[in-house]
Amino acid sequence: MNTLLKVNTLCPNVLRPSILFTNSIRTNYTFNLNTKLVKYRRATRPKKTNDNSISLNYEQSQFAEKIGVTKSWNSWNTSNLLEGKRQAETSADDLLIRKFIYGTFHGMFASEILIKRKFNTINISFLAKLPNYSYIHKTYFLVGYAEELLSCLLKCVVKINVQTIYHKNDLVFRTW
Amino acid sequence: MSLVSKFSRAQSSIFTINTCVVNTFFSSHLNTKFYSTESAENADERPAKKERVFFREQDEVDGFKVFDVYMNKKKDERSFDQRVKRTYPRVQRDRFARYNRMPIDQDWTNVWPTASPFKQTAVPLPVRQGFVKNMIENDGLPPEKYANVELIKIPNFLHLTPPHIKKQCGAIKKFCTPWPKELKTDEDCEKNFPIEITTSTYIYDGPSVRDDRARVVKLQIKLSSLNLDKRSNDKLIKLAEDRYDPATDTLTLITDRCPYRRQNEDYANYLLTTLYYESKQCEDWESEITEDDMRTFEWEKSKSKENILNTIRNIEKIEDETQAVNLKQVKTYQNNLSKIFNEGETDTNILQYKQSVLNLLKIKTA
Repeated sequence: MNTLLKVNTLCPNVLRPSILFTNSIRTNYTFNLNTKLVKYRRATRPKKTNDNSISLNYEQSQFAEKIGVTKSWNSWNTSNLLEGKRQAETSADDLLIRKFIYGTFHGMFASEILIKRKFNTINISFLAKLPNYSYIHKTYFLVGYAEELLSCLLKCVVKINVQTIYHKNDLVFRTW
Repeated sequence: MSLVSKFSRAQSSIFTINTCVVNTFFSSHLNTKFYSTESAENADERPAKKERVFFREQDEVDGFKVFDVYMNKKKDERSFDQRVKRTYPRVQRDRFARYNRMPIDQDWTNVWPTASPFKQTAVPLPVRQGFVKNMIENDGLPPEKYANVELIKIPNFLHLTPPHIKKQCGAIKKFCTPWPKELKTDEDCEKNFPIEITTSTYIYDGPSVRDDRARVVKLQIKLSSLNLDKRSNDKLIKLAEDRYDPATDTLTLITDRCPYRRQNEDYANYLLTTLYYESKQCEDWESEITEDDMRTFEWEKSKSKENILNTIRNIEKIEDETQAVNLKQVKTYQNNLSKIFNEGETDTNILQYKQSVLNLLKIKTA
């Protein structure tokens, strides 16, 4: 699932806003890793522009077939392993967490939401660009609030790890 | 009038056009010719196309070679998209960074005490992660640790460095007891603790720690450690069926019918005790055992013994049974025959059997 619904936050002022990933949930869950067929490879690619006016970060520039090759997964859990337990529960919980975090820290995201599970702890981490300095206290409150609420909902220890960046342009990996 | 005037006008126009065309043609043709001749003359002096240098010599500072992060891929002509202006250059960032304010002789175990996702400000290492195809992507450099999501994704072992392990081992050392001196080798362990119980613990993420696969208990024991006599040993093997492995002489009991591991362990112990006492009990009908019921071939109870004693009586003229059995050729024949039945018909076994028969019948071969 993609949290960068407004990717134009990533773009520098000179470039025109990106049209990427505007349909958030569906595209990322329906891709197939069968790279032999062109239609599957085309699924997650943005259209190439002549003047390279779309800016992409690392996550976006490595397309779906590169998962597990040059970029890794956004959810790390044991359910995806062979004979893993709680596949349905884990994916449903991930959906809930992503929706919740996206609404709670709205407009701050500079990256995808990463969910790493280990034993009974859930580590949620993402990069954030705070609009101004007054948002620091707000973010601290939101972290505590989200941790408390999610741990009550999921019956797990939830830890939220927010890392801030200086500028949106720091994330730009290439132009497309 | 009109026609004439028209013709003359047309003629004049044609002429003018012609001259113009000729002039321009000549001039352009001459020009090109001039340039072409010039270029043909100076062809050898034209600078050759630059060859790509894959391994150029590294710079040296104070006798140390400087590591080239660009891996010789850097070209001076091209650069990253100029429209993307980075407002905070790295030097400016580094001034406020925590990793630059850390003392050199700090205790790393206090900085990173437990497992946690990667924090770029707390790690004083110039780590980079990411794949770069060419110069267009990120100036040809793998992305640095600042604002690098890939580094946060992967599991790190910064909480498991050698100082960490040393510290933790030192903390739990007071709870450990020394290894008993009597148990020096594996054989000593097997002799004193013949029963071996194997269980598996499964860990996974989720709110619960229970796993139903952890209930399975495997109990293994060597039959020689039970000190059973031959009859009860055979009976135990018959009762155990495929749970007994003759190659390693081990009995394996796997129990998984109860919901918890402890219950399964108790059940496995119960099975072992019942097997032991059942095989020790001798029922009345067990004396009626025939040659077909035997697990292995036994010459003493077979029909082969009668036949051999008959032939010995004719050849050696020995009437006494025990005396005949203790003869050397009879003993070798007995061993070789039971080998063929118990171990199978191999080349050596058959050759030995043939030799023993020849000895027994006193036949001399050329």
